Amino acid sequence: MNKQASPIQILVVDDDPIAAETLSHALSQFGYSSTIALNGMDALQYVRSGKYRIVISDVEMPEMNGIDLCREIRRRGSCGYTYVILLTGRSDTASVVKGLDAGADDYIAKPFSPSEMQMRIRAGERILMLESRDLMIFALAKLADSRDHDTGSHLDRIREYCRLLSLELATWPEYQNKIDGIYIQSIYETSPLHDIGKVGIPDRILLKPGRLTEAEFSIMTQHAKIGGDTLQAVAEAHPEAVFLQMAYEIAMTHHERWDGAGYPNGLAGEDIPLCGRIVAIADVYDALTSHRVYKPAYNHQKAVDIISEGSGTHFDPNLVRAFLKLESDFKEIKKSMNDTPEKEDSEFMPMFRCKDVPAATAQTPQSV
Amino acid sequence: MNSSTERSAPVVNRDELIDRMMGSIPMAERMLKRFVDTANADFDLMESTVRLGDKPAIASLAHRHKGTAQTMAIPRVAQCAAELEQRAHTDPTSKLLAILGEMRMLHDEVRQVQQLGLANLI
Repeated sequence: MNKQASPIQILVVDDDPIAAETLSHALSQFGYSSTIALNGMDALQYVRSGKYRIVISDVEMPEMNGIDLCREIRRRGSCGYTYVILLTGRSDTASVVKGLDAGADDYIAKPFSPSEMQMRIRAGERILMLESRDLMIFALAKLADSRDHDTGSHLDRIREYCRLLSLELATWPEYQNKIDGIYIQSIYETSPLHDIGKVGIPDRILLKPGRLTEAEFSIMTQHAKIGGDTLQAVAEAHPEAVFLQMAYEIAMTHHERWDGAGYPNGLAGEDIPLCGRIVAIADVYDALTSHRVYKPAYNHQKAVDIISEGSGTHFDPNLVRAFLKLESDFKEIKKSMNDTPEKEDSEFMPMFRCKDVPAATAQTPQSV
Repeated sequence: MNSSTERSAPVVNRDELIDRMMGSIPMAERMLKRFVDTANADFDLMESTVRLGDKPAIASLAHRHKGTAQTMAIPRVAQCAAELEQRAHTDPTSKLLAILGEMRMLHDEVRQVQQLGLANLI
């Protein structure tokens, strides 16, 4: 028995007080604190408080049954995912399907076995932990990004663009054994970390309103290596966390170019990990269509033209083809997730026809 | 309804009940007392709905009582309640009342167990 206190609060919903109290007692022995709701309407009020991450509900109840409660929880949504376990005497296939179709995550037959219940709850905790991981990654990325994008939805858009491109590529035969559901979820979660290395760039450079000198630009480009090295160290310490490997590859390679003229390692072609090539397009499109102190936000078509021109030099030609197929969806994401103009910064400008940077890196637009 | 083996088995499955109460005999006894204290009212309500012919209500009440009895490891009561739930829409009032009568008799046995105390039940 695990009596270590869990921070997760569980809501027990059952119109039978004896069953509810019995379950609540078992949960307390497993280290969970719980609250009892004797009907679905009361349960919904508790769920709205946002305090309960796991709900264990009976199905047959007056007023609002467990199926309807589950539908309401899913319909209303909340700030975090609510894991719902239905607990009922009806365990025939049709009832199970009905419950799962309503949005339940698990289904346990009454009377419950305490040990089985504990294992089911642990499974739920694992699901919730994955969500927490995603939120933590995004929060860290936001924190790093806030230094130079303090009002923007840059990261929200980047991961949407990445997911879009990955979903498209997953339908192409040559990518079907490279991109699966886990890959798509991983790139969605980790792409916001692409610029996390900017935490190591001095404010005087990162926040400089004007053009960067060559020396400053050189320091600025270090952010890819700083982020990559940091994430690589974490990935090596935690090899079981496969998503960290992707996070490392994205941070390290999203400024590499297809023709080998990028940084920090001058990788070319397919030596650049696919995730880095995907983020490169997403990042540049977002930089082009966003306001900067030295330029207005380019319109969508101009951004499309620039990326199209970069096929085979800056970008992977296949990815440009995928982008061109999806360009109206990119436009829609930018439109729906746009916000007030981002704070002035030096992103994108030094690589974009900036006179004082080396010609090899100044020929095509790129975010920094 | 029940086989002779089932009839000779203790009305309360002590081990199962204590296991469900996470090994706590005081908790098991407290919940068993609660069951005993509330069961008569449940039976009365079920009898009223049977006599009024409110079939959905009979099925619903029987279903709930089945769940409570299962939680309390009282399988014969749970079985009677399941039968009442199944037959609520098809059987005549007299048959349903007979099932209720059997449940009340079993309930008397449960009360004796509760009064005796689980610690004294082998």
